Amino acid sequence: MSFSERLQKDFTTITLALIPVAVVINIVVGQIVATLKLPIYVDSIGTILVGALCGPLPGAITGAISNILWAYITGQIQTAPFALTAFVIGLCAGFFASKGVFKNIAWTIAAGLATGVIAALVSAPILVYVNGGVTGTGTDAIVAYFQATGANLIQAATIQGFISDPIDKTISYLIVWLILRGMSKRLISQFPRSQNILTEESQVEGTS
Amino acid sequence: MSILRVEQLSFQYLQANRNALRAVTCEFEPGTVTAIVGANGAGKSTLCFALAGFIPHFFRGKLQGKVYVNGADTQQTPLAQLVTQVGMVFQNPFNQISGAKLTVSEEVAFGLENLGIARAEMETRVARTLQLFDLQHVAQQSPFALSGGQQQRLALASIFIMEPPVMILDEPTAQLDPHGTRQVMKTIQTLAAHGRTIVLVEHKLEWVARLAARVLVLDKGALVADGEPRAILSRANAWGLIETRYARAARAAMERGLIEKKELLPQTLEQAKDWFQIEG
Amino acid sequence: MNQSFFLDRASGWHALHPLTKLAVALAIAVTVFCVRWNYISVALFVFIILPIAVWAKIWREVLRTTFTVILPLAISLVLVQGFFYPGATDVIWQIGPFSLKREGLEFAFVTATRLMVIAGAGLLVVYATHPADLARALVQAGAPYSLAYIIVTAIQLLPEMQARADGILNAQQARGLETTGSLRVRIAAFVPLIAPLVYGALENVQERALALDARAFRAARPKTSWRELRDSQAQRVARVLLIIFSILVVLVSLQAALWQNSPLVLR
Ligand SMILES: Nc1ncnc2c1ncn2[C@@H]1O[C@H](COP(=O)(O)OP(=O)(O)OP(=O)(O)O)[C@@H](O)[C@H]1O
Ligand SMILES: [Mg+2]
Repeated sequence: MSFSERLQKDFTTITLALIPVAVVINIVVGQIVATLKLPIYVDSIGTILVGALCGPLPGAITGAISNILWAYITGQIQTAPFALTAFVIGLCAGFFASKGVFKNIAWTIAAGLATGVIAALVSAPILVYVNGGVTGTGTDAIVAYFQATGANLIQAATIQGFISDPIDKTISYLIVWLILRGMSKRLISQFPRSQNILTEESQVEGTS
Repeated sequence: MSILRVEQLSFQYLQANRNALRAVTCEFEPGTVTAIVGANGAGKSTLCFALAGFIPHFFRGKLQGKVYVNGADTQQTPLAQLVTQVGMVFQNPFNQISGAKLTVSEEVAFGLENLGIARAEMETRVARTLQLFDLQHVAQQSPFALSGGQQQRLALASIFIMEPPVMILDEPTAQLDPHGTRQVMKTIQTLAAHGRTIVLVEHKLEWVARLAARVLVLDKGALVADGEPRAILSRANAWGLIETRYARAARAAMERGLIEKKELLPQTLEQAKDWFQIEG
Repeated sequence: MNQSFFLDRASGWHALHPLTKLAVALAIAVTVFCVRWNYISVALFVFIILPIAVWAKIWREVLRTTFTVILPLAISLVLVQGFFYPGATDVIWQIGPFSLKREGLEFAFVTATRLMVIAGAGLLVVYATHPADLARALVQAGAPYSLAYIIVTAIQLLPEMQARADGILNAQQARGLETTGSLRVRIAAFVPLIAPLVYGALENVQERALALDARAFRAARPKTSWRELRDSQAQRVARVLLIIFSILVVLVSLQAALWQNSPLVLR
């Protein structure tokens, strides 16, 4: 299947209806996590979900838009460049899902870790170039420690990312794995990449 | 000639192990109001989806038989073209708000934008439609700020404005309170008065008796009855439907021997007055 | 929480086409990243961002938000980079084992003021442009229509979902769910909070999609628009000039070393 055919197949109406809902899930779940003062972000559940159900590009767009909207509504304009990280997280989720990782919890964890590592690698240069290496939160102590012990800015930012991102993304992947388990087959089968999740899909005859 | 024709239609959803529709055959005449009734899971929504082209264009599965809209085979006609022939309104008013529009006027115009209707034409149609659906006083409000009944009238208006000759309404009042239900039912009467062909799925048989000229009964995917409302609704119990309060009262009277047993039960207030006065 | 930062005020800046405002913000952002002069940010903030903010009658909000958003970052920058900037040697203040160095402070100053300009320029757009107008403008400029649909719908669904989240939170707390206390307790509270929210939202997706298709959302023909954005020839020209300016700034800074005889600049 060619790339543009694949895109047309992924961007069905149900994909388009899901994306804004997933964007809102990202933001609201992120806020709930903040309310509960949990030591994680978990702000990409919707992104990973769309990647799994609809493909890499829909997932990536969900991530990027969530991030930009977040910057818009909170006034945290300087977080907008991290839309690139969110975009890549969506791509990763779509890619790993197409390899069937969500059919198996061990693979789900592995994919979460891998996505976390990739997210850290993408974030680090943005963090350094835009933010001067700091986030304005407690994790800056890690950056200070590694810079004090000889790391340069990009190294310190990457290490800081390696410490927080893989855990966060693994938890997010596990939550998505749980959500997918709880969804009815009937609902899952409406999405373009349902075969990412469902093990045996019943044979369908042509409809025309 | 009938405006909608269903021939030997069977459908099995992907992920389902039995048919949701079994060899359904029926026709609909232009300008009529037909109600579809049946127990939960009987296949009412599935039939609606087939009439509006969502089967096969939205839902995947195994389809046999044909649906013709104005003579055109729905399987051969793209959905965006079908929607100007057959409009469909769904249960949940909230889900039918596109979300992409900030005011009620804009929301009503959404379908016209998608069809590429020129601005001037859009303006006249929007003004006329808001008037008809009694939404002109909320035209500048957010669709999200409306009451459930208003939102459902907005959903009806948003489909009506695309001027499909046929409108399929799948339990449009299921999520509404009695007040909202009354509003929407009155609107449906207006639509019928405007000559639209209406297919209405409805659990509240009181409303079926008041609005419909014909009733279809679905049972486990099969069309088991088709005819005049009073005769059909008098046998409502046989298909596990909740009969009207008038029929229930009449049945109670018959069972207590107050009135001799009759086949035809009252289904509306008028019929009940008649039934009890003459017989009792 | 604020659903959107848009402040509907009558001003010349508000009345500009969203893309014009976006082009101004872009030009400011590009300049601040490309010009290698320590005080470029301060200059841009004082001589461009503030005057526009005053013109738009939003200077109080722009200042307040800029500083509350940037302050924690600025503090971190001074603490982390002021003391631990790699390769810095010029000590200006010694406390215990730690030393504050000039190069680090300079880096912290440049970065913090640059963030201040990014935030300020962004807020000029955010406070003066309804997100729906911005989305519509993007479509006008050739972005796919579905992008506008996604953005506007997400913005409108957000308060609905937040209300639902509050409802669920209250209901679960009434049933004895604890949302404060030890980390274990709070993690245990997380799943019962998000599950009904997420499933509730997912349940609706199919009907939302059907309702969109029922209104010819995916029709192949070109769409028309009910609302029109005000635009003018002058603004169109201004936008083109701002874009050209931004590109030039990037090119010039890329060739900064060859500035005097860069063929790209001379042509
Ligand atoms: N997307 C789907 N995938 C698989 N099976 C489905 C799907 N939608 C409906 N079904 C099944 O098809 C049958 C008919 O369902 P349908 O929704 O048409 O019934 P209904 O008469 O509208 O019921 P209700 O009164 O509950 O709305 C049911 O057995 C239902 O479980
Ligand atoms: Mg139904």
